[in-house]
Amino acid sequence: MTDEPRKKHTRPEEKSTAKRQADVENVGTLDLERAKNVLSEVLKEELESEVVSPEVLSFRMKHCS
Amino acid sequence: MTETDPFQYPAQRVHLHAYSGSLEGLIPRPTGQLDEWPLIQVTYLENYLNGLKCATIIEEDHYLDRDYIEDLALFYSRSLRNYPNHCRRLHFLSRAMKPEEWKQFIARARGSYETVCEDLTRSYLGFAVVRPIPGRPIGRTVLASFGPTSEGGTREFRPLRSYRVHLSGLTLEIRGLAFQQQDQGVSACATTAVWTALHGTAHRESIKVPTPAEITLAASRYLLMHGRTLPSEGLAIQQICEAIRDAGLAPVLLPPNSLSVDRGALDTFLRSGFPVVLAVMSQSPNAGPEGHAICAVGAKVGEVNPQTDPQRSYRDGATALKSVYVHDDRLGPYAVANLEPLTVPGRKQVQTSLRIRWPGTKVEEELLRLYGIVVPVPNKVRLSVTRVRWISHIVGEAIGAALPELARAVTVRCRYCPAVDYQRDLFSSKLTDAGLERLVSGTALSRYIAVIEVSAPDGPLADLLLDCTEAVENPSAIAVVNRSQLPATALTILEKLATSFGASLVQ
Repeated sequence: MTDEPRKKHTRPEEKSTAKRQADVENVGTLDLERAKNVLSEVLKEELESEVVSPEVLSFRMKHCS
Repeated sequence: MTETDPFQYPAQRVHLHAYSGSLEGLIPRPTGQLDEWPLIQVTYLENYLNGLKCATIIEEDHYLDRDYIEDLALFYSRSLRNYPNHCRRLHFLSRAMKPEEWKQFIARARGSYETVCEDLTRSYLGFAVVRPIPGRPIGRTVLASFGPTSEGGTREFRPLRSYRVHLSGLTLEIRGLAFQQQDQGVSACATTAVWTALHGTAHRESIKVPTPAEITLAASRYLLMHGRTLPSEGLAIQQICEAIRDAGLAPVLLPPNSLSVDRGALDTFLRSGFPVVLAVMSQSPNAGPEGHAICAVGAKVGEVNPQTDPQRSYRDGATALKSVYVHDDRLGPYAVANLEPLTVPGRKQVQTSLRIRWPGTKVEEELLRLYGIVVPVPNKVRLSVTRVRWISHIVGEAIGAALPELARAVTVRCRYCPAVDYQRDLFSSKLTDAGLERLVSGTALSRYIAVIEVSAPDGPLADLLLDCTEAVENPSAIAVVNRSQLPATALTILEKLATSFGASLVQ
């Protein structure tokens, strides 16, 4: 019931190459419309996540032994 | 056998027991019990108490439990067996204590009540009500959770709350969330999962927490889907939504989606302090056809996954959610369930599964497939989690693309928050005095706000505050709060963000 030891992964350590905020020099233009267009296709499933089927509504939970 | 006078008032006795790792003496096998013994829940409780380093158990042998007495009135009082109306309650302490020391505690409280209560609370691990139901004795149980440090991540238990406990006139406190074993007369797994969730959310809204009996009756009042109400035949998702509505809260129902979407919703709700009811189905080969319900009450949080999609310029902070801690009435409180992908034939997207360990049993691990998420939320939380997350993705992408030097490490994460709590936290933030005054005195906030937190590797960038009372179709942004250390030239990003959303910029 307590946490399992973490399994060892083989993914190499990723070093962040991000600058510190105070050192940021190159600033682009904030474009929400572009962001929305880029994500509309990529995240289509997020937008469809609230459709509830009758099957889900009648899913019965009783007891599993 | 001598019959006691039924009209005589009961005696109350408090017994101290040194805890040796076994509850067998306190929860013995009932005569005629055919099912497996000891119960898995008792074994789990023993292991859990060992982990908490329990040293002493204080037993109250006559305790009137509100939940049990309603179950008795509704169901057990009509049985042939003469079920008593009282339970026993066991209190768990991490300090070793002898009976003489307990008496000294009581005596000392005469002169310094608060000090004695605080002293005892420091070693108080929680309590368990033992019901006089032979095969299902574990009633309302509130135990301390494990601490924040865990291998592989940090434990967060935001849905937990404080319980005030009275023992021998002393007032103790324990932070946890109630767990109980289903009794299968009045409640099945769905009722107990909803009951646990309501212990969190109903309480924070100052709404009376319904008993399992009230939940089962409310769920079956208008819709009887699976035969009789009592003994409980389980509940459907539609029925538990009705029980939540009857309790004075709103049921948010999310069908299963992909692991990414489900994890995003779970992360948002748990970070908001809302317990989550999970409808699941065991994937074991010998599992029956029926589903099961558990309640997520905590999270294990690790590192945010780096962005591997070349089209995206930000990271989803919800990917930090690696596991959830659940109250599973087949097992016990705070069982860890790892979130894993599950490939299902015929489904395009990878589905969500939870892997739960069953220590010390024949089934070491069990895989559960997620079939639905139901979250009781306050009625004023109307803005859907889907909408909040969608806005957070857009904001993350826009800011990440505008600040390429942050190397796609801009991270977004969401939560719902009472406005008063957000305002309180501002007093310890780095906001200017003018900004603080603007937000606490000069901005109207809805009772609950959705907070989209945008951050960079070296700290927060900004919060976007949304009005939770607004419907999806209408603009809902109230304010953009600058929390960044960006140079002045880069603050145009946040100014544009605020203008685009029609919100005010606070800094």
